[in-house]
Amino acid sequence: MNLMELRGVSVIFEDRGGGFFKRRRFYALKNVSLNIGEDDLILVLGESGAGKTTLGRVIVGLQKPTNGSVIYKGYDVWKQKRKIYATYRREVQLVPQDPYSTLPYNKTVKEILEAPLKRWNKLSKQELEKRLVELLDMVRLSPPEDFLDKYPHQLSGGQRQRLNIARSLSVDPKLVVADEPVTMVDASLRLGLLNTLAEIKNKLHLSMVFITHDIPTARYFYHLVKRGNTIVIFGGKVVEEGDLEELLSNPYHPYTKDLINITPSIDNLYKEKPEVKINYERVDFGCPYQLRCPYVMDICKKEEPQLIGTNSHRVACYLYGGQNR
Amino acid sequence: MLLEVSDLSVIYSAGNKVVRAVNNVSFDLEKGEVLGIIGESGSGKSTLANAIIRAIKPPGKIVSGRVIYKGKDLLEMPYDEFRKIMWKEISYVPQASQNALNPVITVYDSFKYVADSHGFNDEKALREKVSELMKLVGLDPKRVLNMYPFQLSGGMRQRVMIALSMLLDPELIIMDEPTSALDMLNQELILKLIKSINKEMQISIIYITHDILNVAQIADRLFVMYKGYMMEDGKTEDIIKDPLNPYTQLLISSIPPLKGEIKNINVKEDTSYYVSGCPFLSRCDHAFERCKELPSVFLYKNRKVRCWLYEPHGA
Repeated sequence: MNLMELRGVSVIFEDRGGGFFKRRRFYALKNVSLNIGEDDLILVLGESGAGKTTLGRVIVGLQKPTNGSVIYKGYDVWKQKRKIYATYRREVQLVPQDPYSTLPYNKTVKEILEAPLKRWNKLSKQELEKRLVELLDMVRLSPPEDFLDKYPHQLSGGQRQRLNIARSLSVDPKLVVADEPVTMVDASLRLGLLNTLAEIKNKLHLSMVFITHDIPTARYFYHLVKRGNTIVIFGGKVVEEGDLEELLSNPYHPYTKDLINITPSIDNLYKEKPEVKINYERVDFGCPYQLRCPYVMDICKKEEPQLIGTNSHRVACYLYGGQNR
Repeated sequence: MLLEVSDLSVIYSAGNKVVRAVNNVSFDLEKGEVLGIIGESGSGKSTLANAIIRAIKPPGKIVSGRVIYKGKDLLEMPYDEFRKIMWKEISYVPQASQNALNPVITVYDSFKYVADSHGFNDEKALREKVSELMKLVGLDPKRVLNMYPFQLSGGMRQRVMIALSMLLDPELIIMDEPTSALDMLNQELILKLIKSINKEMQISIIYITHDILNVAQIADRLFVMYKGYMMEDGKTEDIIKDPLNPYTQLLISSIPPLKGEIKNINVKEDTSYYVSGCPFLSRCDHAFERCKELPSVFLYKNRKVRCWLYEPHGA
């Protein structure tokens, strides 16, 4: 059974831009379905504004979907709250992006980690102490004794992010959503952090959703975990889905191709990159990528393409059929 | 030689605690050159930029060094004289510059304020000039000039800031992390823009960033800093292909490749507070006895490198 399932989730933000009676609807996510099994790794790729973070927030329950349902262990977390909500909120945790603004500045490491432990468990003083040391050891803040009485401002960006990870692990989650966990961390410390994160994932058999805009980072993490289903989102929609290596070596969707082409890499530094149109306008009908797509056809402007293909690699694009559905 | 920085040191002092943010940094910049300054948080890269434009505020203090621009020392000259050079000849794009625009005035007014304060009063000429600049950075002047900063996306604001820095035809632009808050696509566009203003108008650029891959795409030369010290200085291609300093080696091996095989890389983290010796000592794999002493800067393969490994023997 799947640990978690998103069924046709849409998140709509409304504003009054369209006059007094007509509200403008903005689809942050549009009809996203996703299965997360136990011990799975899901990599989420996309540019800013694509809906990556909103997806993460829906998974951990910080954002209630406008349409669709979030199923955790077989229960709908928003409709069958009494049955599952407490378990769900405990077992699904978030590692936030920015280690500089997500830790309380007036609390020590010990206090930060104690709070969730005390909220969910009844522990004696010795047990608590033991658990704290265990957690800090796990995220490789060693020796743990040195860190317990420190304040976040005494830690480096990498160390803060380690503390963030320890905090989300403190309540024994089953599923962790890591939203750009290394983007704000110094370049020379990133790999170390990814190593630790993967080590924890592999050891505890956690399910993990790893959100990033950076393909090389995703690829490094994929190799540490040895597998990883990837979804590429654009304009709130999943445009392509599949195993990361398969997706990179054989991308289908024009957006995935563009994304790979503009990513700088150590071996293509001076290669001329293809022109990519920039356009952040959203469309109401049809394929979300139609304004930037070089292969745009008539049908792309009228009807929304659906995900088609095999279970291991699916794409939502009319270039690969699906017109006569 | 356009700019010559020699032996520049900046400290921040709080009570009896002194932080040495920049230590004896020297570099030259030729006309038309793009210099990439690379460093992580706390490496002193922004302090270095601020020191060049005399923007170090107490408790910071420049304790030694000279900044020679076209034969004149910027740090020595009277402030009034310096103000005439600033923006007109040297301009600055600050860090998080997408938030540096005044939020309550339109984009055009931001240009007008800068122009006014430097005696550029011809309204018609200014309009023309600003429109031209907006087109250069790829924005529609009719639409964008009358907008307020909150109506623009991050990438657009960044381009407005770059246009603003070019208003008075400077010869040198110092850019502090101009692309780090943007996504891949915008980064790519800004880099192309910077490359084209450098090539076509022969404007020299100092580009400060933490992202070596980003700057390597446009810089002629790289200048790597760590904990306030220059670690390596040389041609971009040489450094990327064959980094000498162990710190630069770590930076380059920390970039996972887009294609091909991926290796697990173990990274040592900084554990001790830096007191003396080589700033990279606690994380270095090649450390030996000598490293307890601060390495000198050696010339090796046409590059400057601060590491005892490259000490000439038997010279």
